[in-house]
Amino acid sequence: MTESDDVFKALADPSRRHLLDQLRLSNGQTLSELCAHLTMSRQAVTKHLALLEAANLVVPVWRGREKLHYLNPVPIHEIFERWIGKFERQRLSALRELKRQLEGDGS
Amino acid sequence: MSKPQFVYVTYISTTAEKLWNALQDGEMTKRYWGHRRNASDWQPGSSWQHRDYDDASLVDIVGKVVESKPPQRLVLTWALPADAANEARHSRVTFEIKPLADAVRLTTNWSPARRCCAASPTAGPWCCRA
Repeated sequence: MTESDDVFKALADPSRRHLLDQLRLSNGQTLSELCAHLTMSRQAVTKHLALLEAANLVVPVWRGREKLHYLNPVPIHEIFERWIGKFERQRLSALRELKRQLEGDGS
Repeated sequence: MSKPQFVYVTYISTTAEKLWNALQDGEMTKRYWGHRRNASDWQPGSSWQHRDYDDASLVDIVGKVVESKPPQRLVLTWALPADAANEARHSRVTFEIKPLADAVRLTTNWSPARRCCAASPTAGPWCCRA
Protein backbone atom coordinates (compact mmCIF):
# COMPACT_ATOMS: atom_id res chain seq x y z
CA MET A 1 0.00 0.00 0.00
CA THR A 2 1.29 3.42 -0.92
CA GLU A 3 0.21 4.97 2.39
CA SER A 4 2.46 2.67 4.37
CA ASP A 5 5.34 3.43 1.95
CA ASP A 6 4.99 7.08 2.94
CA VAL A 7 4.97 6.16 6.61
CA PHE A 8 8.10 4.01 6.38
CA LYS A 9 9.90 6.60 4.30
CA ALA A 10 9.02 9.30 6.82
CA LEU A 11 10.16 7.12 9.72
CA ALA A 12 13.44 6.16 8.02
CA ASP A 13 15.05 9.48 8.90
CA PRO A 14 16.49 9.98 12.41
CA SER A 15 15.71 13.71 12.45
CA ARG A 16 12.08 13.02 11.70
CA ARG A 17 11.92 10.34 14.38
CA HIS A 18 13.42 12.87 16.75
CA LEU A 19 10.67 15.36 15.85
CA LEU A 20 8.06 12.70 16.64
CA ASP A 21 9.83 12.08 19.97
CA GLN A 22 9.56 15.79 20.75
CA LEU A 23 5.83 15.73 20.02
CA ARG A 24 5.43 12.60 22.11
CA LEU A 25 6.96 14.51 25.04
CA SER A 26 4.80 17.56 24.48
CA ASN A 27 2.01 17.33 21.92
CA GLY A 28 0.73 20.33 19.97
CA GLN A 29 3.94 22.37 19.62
CA THR A 30 4.48 25.28 17.26
CA LEU A 31 7.39 25.35 14.82
CA SER A 32 9.29 27.75 17.08
CA GLU A 33 8.79 25.53 20.12
CA LEU A 34 10.04 22.52 18.17
CA CYS A 35 13.06 24.43 16.89
CA ALA A 36 14.02 25.47 20.42
CA HIS A 37 14.88 21.83 21.29
CA LEU A 38 16.72 21.01 18.09
CA THR A 39 20.00 21.82 16.44
CA MET A 40 18.44 21.67 12.97
CA SER A 41 17.73 24.85 11.05
CA ARG A 42 14.18 26.15 11.01
CA GLN A 43 14.10 25.43 7.29
CA ALA A 44 15.10 21.80 7.80
CA VAL A 45 12.48 21.34 10.52
CA THR A 46 9.82 22.82 8.21
CA LYS A 47 10.82 20.37 5.46
CA HIS A 48 10.74 17.38 7.80
CA LEU A 49 7.37 18.40 9.23
CA ALA A 50 5.92 18.64 5.71
CA LEU A 51 6.99 15.05 5.04
CA LEU A 52 5.59 13.86 8.36
CA GLU A 53 2.31 15.62 7.58
CA ALA A 54 2.17 14.03 4.12
CA ALA A 55 2.54 10.62 5.80
CA ASN A 56 -0.25 11.48 8.26
CA LEU A 57 2.17 11.08 11.16
CA VAL A 58 1.83 14.72 12.13
CA VAL A 59 -1.45 16.63 12.05
CA PRO A 60 -1.57 20.43 12.05
CA VAL A 61 -4.19 22.21 14.13
CA TRP A 62 -4.66 25.94 13.63
CA ARG A 63 -5.33 28.01 16.71
CA GLY A 64 -5.77 31.54 15.44
CA ARG A 65 -2.56 32.28 13.55
CA GLU A 66 -0.63 29.61 15.43
CA LYS A 67 -0.01 26.26 13.78
CA LEU A 68 0.20 23.48 16.36
CA HIS A 69 1.69 20.11 15.45
CA TYR A 70 0.22 16.88 16.82
CA LEU A 71 1.67 13.40 16.68
CA ASN A 72 -0.91 11.19 14.95
CA PRO A 73 -0.41 7.59 16.14
CA VAL A 74 -2.98 6.11 13.73
CA PRO A 75 -0.55 5.03 10.94
CA ILE A 76 1.87 3.50 13.45
CA HIS A 77 -1.03 1.72 15.10
CA GLU A 78 -1.90 0.23 11.70
CA ILE A 79 1.63 -1.14 11.41
CA PHE A 80 1.28 -2.54 14.91
CA GLU A 81 -2.04 -4.20 14.07
CA ARG A 82 -0.59 -5.67 10.91
CA TRP A 83 2.23 -7.57 12.55
CA ILE A 84 1.24 -8.01 16.17
CA GLY A 85 -1.43 -10.53 17.12
CA LYS A 86 -4.23 -9.70 19.49
CA PHE A 87 -3.07 -12.09 22.19
CA GLU A 88 0.60 -11.13 21.91
CA ARG A 89 0.01 -7.60 23.19
CA GLN A 90 -0.11 -8.43 26.86
CA ARG A 91 2.96 -10.65 26.61
CA LEU A 92 4.87 -8.01 24.67
CA SER A 93 3.85 -5.33 27.18
CA ALA A 94 5.06 -7.57 29.99
CA LEU A 95 8.42 -8.08 28.25
CA ARG A 96 8.73 -4.38 27.55
CA GLU A 97 7.95 -3.59 31.18
CA LEU A 98 10.52 -6.19 32.31
CA LYS A 99 13.16 -4.52 30.13
CA ARG A 100 12.14 -1.08 31.34
CA GLN A 101 12.36 -2.14 34.97
CA LEU A 102 15.76 -3.76 34.51
CA GLU A 103 17.17 -0.89 32.51
CA GLY A 104 15.92 1.75 34.91
CA ASP A 105 14.12 4.63 33.29
CA GLY A 106 14.87 3.55 29.69
CA SER A 107 11.99 3.31 27.28
CA MET B 1 -10.14 28.05 23.30
CA SER B 2 -8.11 25.39 25.03
CA LYS B 3 -5.44 23.48 23.17
CA PRO B 4 -6.39 19.91 22.20
CA GLN B 5 -4.57 17.17 24.06
CA PHE B 6 -4.63 14.80 21.14
CA VAL B 7 -5.66 14.71 17.52
CA TYR B 8 -6.18 11.47 15.63
CA VAL B 9 -6.63 11.35 11.87
CA THR B 10 -7.98 8.22 10.19
CA TYR B 11 -8.73 7.69 6.52
CA ILE B 12 -11.67 5.36 5.94
CA SER B 13 -12.96 4.04 2.62
CA THR B 14 -16.60 4.87 3.13
CA THR B 15 -18.98 7.78 2.70
CA ALA B 16 -19.43 10.70 5.07
CA GLU B 17 -23.06 9.65 5.69
CA LYS B 18 -22.12 6.09 6.64
CA LEU B 19 -19.40 7.32 8.98
CA TRP B 20 -21.74 9.88 10.53
CA ASN B 21 -24.31 7.15 11.19
CA ALA B 22 -21.62 4.85 12.57
CA LEU B 23 -20.86 7.39 15.32
CA GLN B 24 -24.47 7.35 16.46
CA ASP B 25 -26.11 4.08 15.50
CA GLY B 26 -26.19 1.55 18.33
CA GLU B 27 -25.86 -1.45 16.02
CA MET B 28 -22.61 0.01 14.69
CA THR B 29 -21.14 1.28 17.97
CA LYS B 30 -21.90 -2.13 19.50
CA ARG B 31 -19.39 -3.64 17.07
CA TYR B 32 -16.47 -1.24 17.45
CA TRP B 33 -17.03 0.61 20.72
CA GLY B 34 -17.01 -1.92 23.56
CA HIS B 35 -20.56 -3.27 23.13
CA ARG B 36 -21.98 0.18 23.89
CA ARG B 37 -24.53 2.44 22.27
CA ASN B 38 -24.73 6.21 22.18
CA ALA B 39 -28.19 7.43 23.12
CA SER B 40 -29.34 10.93 22.16
CA ASP B 41 -31.59 12.74 19.73
CA TRP B 42 -28.35 14.43 18.51
CA GLN B 43 -29.82 17.94 18.52
CA PRO B 44 -27.51 20.75 19.69
CA GLY B 45 -28.12 21.27 23.41
CA SER B 46 -29.45 17.74 23.96
CA SER B 47 -27.77 15.33 26.31
CA TRP B 48 -26.15 12.11 25.18
CA GLN B 49 -25.14 8.94 26.98
CA HIS B 50 -22.64 6.24 26.21
CA ARG B 51 -24.09 3.11 27.75
CA ASP B 52 -24.22 -0.63 27.61
CA TYR B 53 -25.95 -1.99 24.53
CA ASP B 54 -28.17 -4.36 26.50
CA ASP B 55 -28.54 -2.69 29.87
CA ALA B 56 -29.43 1.01 29.64
CA SER B 57 -28.77 1.46 33.37
CA LEU B 58 -25.02 0.93 32.85
CA VAL B 59 -23.91 4.41 31.79
CA ASP B 60 -20.19 5.05 31.24
CA ILE B 61 -20.10 8.56 29.85
CA VAL B 62 -22.55 11.46 29.78
CA GLY B 63 -22.48 14.85 28.10
CA LYS B 64 -24.14 17.37 25.85
CA VAL B 65 -24.31 17.72 22.11
CA VAL B 66 -22.57 21.05 21.46
CA GLU B 67 -22.69 21.03 17.66
CA SER B 68 -24.25 18.64 15.19
CA LYS B 69 -23.84 19.28 11.47
CA PRO B 70 -24.58 16.05 9.64
CA PRO B 71 -22.52 14.57 8.12
CA GLN B 72 -19.55 16.86 8.83
CA ARG B 73 -19.06 17.84 12.40
CA LEU B 74 -20.15 16.51 15.78
CA VAL B 75 -18.98 18.15 19.00
CA LEU B 76 -19.76 16.48 22.33
CA THR B 77 -18.91 17.21 25.91
CA TRP B 78 -17.74 14.16 27.77
CA ALA B 79 -17.84 13.33 31.48
CA LEU B 80 -18.25 10.54 33.95
CA PRO B 81 -21.81 10.23 35.25
CA ALA B 82 -20.57 11.30 38.70
CA ASP B 83 -19.29 14.55 37.17
CA ALA B 84 -22.46 15.29 35.17
CA ALA B 85 -23.23 18.48 37.10
CA ASN B 86 -19.65 19.70 37.28
CA GLU B 87 -18.84 21.31 33.94
CA ALA B 88 -15.25 22.02 34.88
CA ARG B 89 -14.76 18.26 34.62
CA HIS B 90 -16.27 17.94 31.16
CA SER B 91 -13.89 17.40 28.32
CA ARG B 92 -14.81 18.00 24.72
CA VAL B 93 -14.55 15.71 21.74
CA THR B 94 -14.84 16.91 18.15
CA PHE B 95 -15.40 14.53 15.25
CA GLU B 96 -14.80 16.10 11.86
CA ILE B 97 -15.63 14.25 8.69
CA LYS B 98 -14.22 15.41 5.38
CA PRO B 99 -15.12 13.58 2.17
CA LEU B 100 -12.24 12.93 -0.24
CA ALA B 101 -12.18 11.38 -3.71
CA ASP B 102 -12.59 7.76 -2.60
CA ALA B 103 -12.50 7.92 1.19
CA VAL B 104 -13.32 10.15 4.12
CA ARG B 105 -10.98 11.74 6.59
CA LEU B 106 -12.07 11.45 10.22
CA THR B 107 -10.35 13.82 12.63
CA THR B 108 -10.95 13.12 16.32
CA ASN B 109 -9.86 15.95 18.50
CA TRP B 110 -9.97 15.78 22.29
CA SER B 111 -9.76 18.84 24.53
CA PRO B 112 -9.24 18.07 28.18
CA ALA B 113 -11.47 19.18 31.00
CA ARG B 114 -10.29 22.12 33.07
CA ARG B 115 -10.20 19.75 36.02
CA CYS B 116 -9.42 16.08 35.94
CA CYS B 117 -12.28 13.66 36.22
CA ALA B 118 -12.34 10.89 38.80
CA ALA B 119 -10.38 7.80 37.86
CA SER B 120 -12.53 5.14 36.28
CA PRO B 121 -11.69 1.91 34.48
CA THR B 122 -14.19 2.73 31.76
CA ALA B 123 -13.06 6.31 31.25
CA GLY B 124 -10.17 5.01 29.17
CA PRO B 125 -8.08 7.34 27.06
CA TRP B 126 -10.74 10.01 27.13
CA CYS B 127 -10.13 10.76 30.77
CA CYS B 128 -7.22 12.70 32.18
CA ARG B 129 -3.94 10.86 31.96
CA ALA B 130 -1.50 13.44 33.21
